[in-house]
Amino acid sequence: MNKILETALSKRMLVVIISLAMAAIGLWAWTALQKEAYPDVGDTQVTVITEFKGRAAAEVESQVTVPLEKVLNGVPQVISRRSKTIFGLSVISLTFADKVEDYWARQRVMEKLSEADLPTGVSPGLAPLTGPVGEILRYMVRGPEDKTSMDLRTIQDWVVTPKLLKVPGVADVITFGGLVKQYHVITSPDLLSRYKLSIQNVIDAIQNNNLSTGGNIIARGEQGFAIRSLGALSNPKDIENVFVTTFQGVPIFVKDIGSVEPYPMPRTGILGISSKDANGTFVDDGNGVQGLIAMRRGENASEVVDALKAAIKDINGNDLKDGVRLEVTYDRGDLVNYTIRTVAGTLFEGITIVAVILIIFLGSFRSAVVVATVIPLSLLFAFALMKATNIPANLLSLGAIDFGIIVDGAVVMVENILRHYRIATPADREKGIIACTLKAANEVSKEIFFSIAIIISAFLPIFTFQRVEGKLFSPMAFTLSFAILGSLLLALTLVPVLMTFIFRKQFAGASSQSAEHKENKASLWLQTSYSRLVARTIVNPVRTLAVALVLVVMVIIGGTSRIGTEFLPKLDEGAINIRAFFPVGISIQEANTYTPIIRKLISSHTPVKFVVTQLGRNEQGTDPYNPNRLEILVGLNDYKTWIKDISKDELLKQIKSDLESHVPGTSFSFSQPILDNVTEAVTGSVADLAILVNGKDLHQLREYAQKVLDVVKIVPGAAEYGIEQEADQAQLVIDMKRLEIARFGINVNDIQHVIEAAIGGKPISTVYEDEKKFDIVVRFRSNFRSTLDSIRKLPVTSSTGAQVPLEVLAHIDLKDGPTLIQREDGERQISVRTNIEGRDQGSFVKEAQAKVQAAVKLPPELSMTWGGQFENLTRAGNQLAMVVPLTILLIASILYLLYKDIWDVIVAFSCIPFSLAGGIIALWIRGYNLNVSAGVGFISLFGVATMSGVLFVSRMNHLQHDHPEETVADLVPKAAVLQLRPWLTTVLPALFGLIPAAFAQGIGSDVQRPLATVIVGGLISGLLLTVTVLPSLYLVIDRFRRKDAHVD
Amino acid sequence: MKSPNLGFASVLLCGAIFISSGIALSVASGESMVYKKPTLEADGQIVVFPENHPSLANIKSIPVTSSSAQLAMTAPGRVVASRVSNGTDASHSMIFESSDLATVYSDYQQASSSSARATKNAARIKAMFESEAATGRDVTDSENEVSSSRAQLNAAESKLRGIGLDPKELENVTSPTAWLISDVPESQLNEVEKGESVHASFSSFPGMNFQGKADAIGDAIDPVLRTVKVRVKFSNEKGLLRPGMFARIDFGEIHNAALVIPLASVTRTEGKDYVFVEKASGRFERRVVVLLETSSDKDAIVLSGISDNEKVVSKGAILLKGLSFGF
Repeated sequence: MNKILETALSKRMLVVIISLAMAAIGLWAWTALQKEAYPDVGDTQVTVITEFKGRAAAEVESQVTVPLEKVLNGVPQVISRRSKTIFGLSVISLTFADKVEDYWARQRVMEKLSEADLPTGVSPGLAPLTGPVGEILRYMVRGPEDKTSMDLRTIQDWVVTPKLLKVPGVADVITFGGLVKQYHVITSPDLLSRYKLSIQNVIDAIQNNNLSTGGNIIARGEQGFAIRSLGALSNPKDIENVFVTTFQGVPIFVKDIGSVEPYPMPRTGILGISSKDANGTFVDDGNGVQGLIAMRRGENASEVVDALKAAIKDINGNDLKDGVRLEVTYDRGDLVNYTIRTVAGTLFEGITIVAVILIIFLGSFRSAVVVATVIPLSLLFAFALMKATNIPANLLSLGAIDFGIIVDGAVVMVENILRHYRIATPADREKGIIACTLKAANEVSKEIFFSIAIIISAFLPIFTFQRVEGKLFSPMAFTLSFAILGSLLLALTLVPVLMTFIFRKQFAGASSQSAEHKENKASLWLQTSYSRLVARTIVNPVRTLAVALVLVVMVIIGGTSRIGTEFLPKLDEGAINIRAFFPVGISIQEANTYTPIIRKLISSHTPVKFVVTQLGRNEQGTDPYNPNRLEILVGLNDYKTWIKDISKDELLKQIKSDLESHVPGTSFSFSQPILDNVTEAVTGSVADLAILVNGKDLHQLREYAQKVLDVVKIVPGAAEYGIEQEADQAQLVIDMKRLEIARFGINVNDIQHVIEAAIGGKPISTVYEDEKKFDIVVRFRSNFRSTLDSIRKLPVTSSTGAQVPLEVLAHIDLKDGPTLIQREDGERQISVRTNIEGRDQGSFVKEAQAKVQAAVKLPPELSMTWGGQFENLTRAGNQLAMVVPLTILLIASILYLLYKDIWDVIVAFSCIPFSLAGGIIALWIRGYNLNVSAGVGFISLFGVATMSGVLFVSRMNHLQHDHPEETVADLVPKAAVLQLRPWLTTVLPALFGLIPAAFAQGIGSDVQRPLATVIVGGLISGLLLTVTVLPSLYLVIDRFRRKDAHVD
Repeated sequence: MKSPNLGFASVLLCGAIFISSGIALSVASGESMVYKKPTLEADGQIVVFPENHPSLANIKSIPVTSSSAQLAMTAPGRVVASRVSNGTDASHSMIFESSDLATVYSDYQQASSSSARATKNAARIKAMFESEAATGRDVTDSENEVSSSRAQLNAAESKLRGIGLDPKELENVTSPTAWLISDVPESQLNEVEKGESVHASFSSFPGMNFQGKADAIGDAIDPVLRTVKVRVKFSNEKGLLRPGMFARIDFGEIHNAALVIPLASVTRTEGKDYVFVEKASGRFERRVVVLLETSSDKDAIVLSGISDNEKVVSKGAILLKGLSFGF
């Protein structure tokens, strides 16, 4: 240490130059650093999507999901396997362990997929590589009156999407809403039977007449001509002219047995939007087409958003005509800007406050400047290191930086140097400023080094965080650690150097006394009053200590029993996401009659900028939802314009009350767009608490799930509870009577084809119109397939040509069947979900667990697990419970290294409970729960708090060394008074520096607030108790030390 | 000692500030229209909304009275024959849907005329025999001729009848007419009355409604298809209907004292059909109903579960189902 100081002070110019170079590198690193508002907190996940069109959930499960799960069992490093099977779709999600690389995971899954044994024509695919925070932009495709929903969707699919997919960083463009165009060949059983045709004949005819191919090359003279044989269907007329059969010598074409029309695919999802037009009035569009851009994992959101906006501008200008245009409704840039604003504001306020305090307490403007230079320099140093280690800078964690902590080392150094300058004797002044500085620096260098080592090692638990909390907080821990490391280096090198430059004149002349004259009065008063206080407290040190101990213990015990626990504080992303579930079994058309009502209700509130409702699911299969599920995104106006009139919580309450009272029988749950996705990806459910019952028999599972629900819903705090999977719904089951079918000489396949094609509308071929392609569907006219009765009477052609009604050949009944089958780890699963309101998660779950345990006894074939957000809480809690004691041990060891004396370690250590008490009181006063953010606050607090103890003990050791003739009882008050200013100047900046963060309200401040609150509260109590009780404590401990010594 | 008293005082002050701000905050939390939630009684069977609850705007009910209900009962059919005039009243031609049928008819006509001729011949021969201008043999021959031609006529006639046409009618009709044969499932034969008036829609003329009369009902049931042939006669003044056209005939089901409700009021849950009855304003009771199978896609006939003059929820029933069952 001394070596470093000596070298630095001897080569002062070099030190300055290196610092400047470091600053330059840091600046460059900041510009090159990847900055994001929200870190991508999702785990590595691979989703396998398989379509099995037209099949009910039970069939899809047994023929697709189960075989796939079997082969995917062999994929390594997987920590959870979940699947959801609905009508026509199977979605399997594999979550991988922390730190598994995305592409590696996908590769392993792809290898296994090829081994799966699936029905013909069914091919599984992987969902695009995007994370839960990847939805960065949404736009609407708008057009004038004469453009139908089908036109707009066709433009979106074939003009816009290919262009947007080319933008770098885009993983996928997900379209919702609009009508997908197909060409329907609409016939009827009468028409077919007239020509003795079956549906299969028509299908075969179209399939056999749709092929373009090529031959070789024909040579003529010196040229060669490639051969193209054009036979593919390229427009509806071609389809009409397809030859089907000959009847009584006359050729029959498709146009003779039916009509060919552009017709939409049956819709699975409807999108509506209510937004403001130019005048500010809300305009409702019940049939919109929306494109949603998903960003590839690992890309930078701000860059991709900018590139997309440029691409959209380009498309609007060059590729769209006839009044069709793209309008951006939501983009991640807003959130980033909000967060930057909040964080920048907090940082600026923090720096200003720290500077002011330094000036006041150091009493010297120039030394305050020296300390202040440490702030930007250590930050830049941190950025350089972050760039070197590839850690992204997320704004959430930047907002939690406490500059007060960063300057601590420099402050101690400057304060001591200044003191030496002031008490320097003329003899010392002869030796020169450098010698004096060196002496002063040496006095405190070891303490500074060890204090900072303690602060950094106190961050150790944060580095061990996993998954969501790890991705959220470890960048912060790294940033802080790097910055503090930088400040350590600067405190030991640049700061003394700068002091020598700045105070050269003062030191040389005797004018040092005049400049400090003013502050002498104030500090003198402070010192005298404090020495009186100290004297009083050490009169009976045991009593002082006892009173303090009782207070601290009472607070800790009282606080921990009163403060609840939760995983993360509520995050505000500047928008609202609502999930609504209509009663099970509702048709999409009926549900859609309520969406305009919902949009109107929400948009009638002033802070609302737009409302987008997504009913059902899109065609791509990325979301396995049923038609009763409605997702609502509510965009809000700039917070500044309305946050004074109504709080966000209040707004949510009002909207919720409006919706629930106008649309009964429907459940509404409120959340944030990103948080929803993250929670769902991580825990499989959006709910705060999900109780999962696993087994084989769906009815049995449901029965026990209901029992659990009955117990949970009466636990106080339960809100928006229910069973997540819908009950069985009535389905039309067509069950073949094999005997009857055989009598007529019909094959089961023929009937299935009739049902598939005629009723189900299965695509049988494709039309290529320029670069667009559309499915061809052969089906019966609507009145033949739209009611139960018409399906019963559906004629099937027998081998003799007779038309046999379907009800002769099959049992046709409405039977109940499952519509959504959820599986986890190879077992079927039913989940009971509930949100928790007005209460902390930890205590609610404890109570619920106890009650469920007592009331519900599961049979051996069923098992139960507890999950949801609560999973995260348990994991984080267990992690902390293990690592925090280790850290305390580590700190103790470092202290022991420093002092080599167990009693000194105990004294220094005592600052931790002093500050713990204050942190707990602060949380309690503000009504916050203990969450990971507050936990990180406590962790930072421990490191900083021990600094006060370390300073005092070191001072005592120095004094005892320098004045061996004085007793401990005499030295203690002297040491305390000497340490008053360093205590104040280390703790107060740290304390006040975080007050802006503790009270910030803007978006992006939610994570910092609990953290800052804990640190502010803890530092206050730490300072108060240190100042009053530490001297007494030292005296009491000293008695033990002497007892020890005596015994020896 | 000064410090403890000062300390105590400051603690008291802090406490007072804290408590009063807490009270102030809770009082000041904004006004919002909070409606009471609807309540359930009898384990979900009864749903009660508080007065003037906004949800009631989305729930509508209609009174149900028992009446004669006319529901649709449709069956497929095709036009097999039509009579067109050739410009003058006197002459006309019969057109059939297939050449086979036309042959059958011409066979019949031939047989008919031969039979008539044979009969006339037989009568003349008999008269001649009485005047001893013909032999007994001639009489026997002519009588044989009559029987054989009659047999042929019978055969031809039964062929026609087998198809469903009545030869006498075909001959006697004077204005342009079209005959249509419909295959009615045996389970719905009850609904068809001879002579009843029916509607038909043709695939060639979508949207147009034609009115006809159910002339005759077949005697035998097709053993395979379990259907009975019913002949329907249409007036064909405009000549629109041609043999070979396909149609859907609505025979209409008449139910006396039937309770008809719109299908929109029925929700099916866990294997049963339910409707909601409005007992009082804002008070709805859930009932299990048994429905009669019909071919209508708009209405349903209730066999049991509700009584005359009750008000049944016709819009928003599924929302009530969500409240009542909880899902």
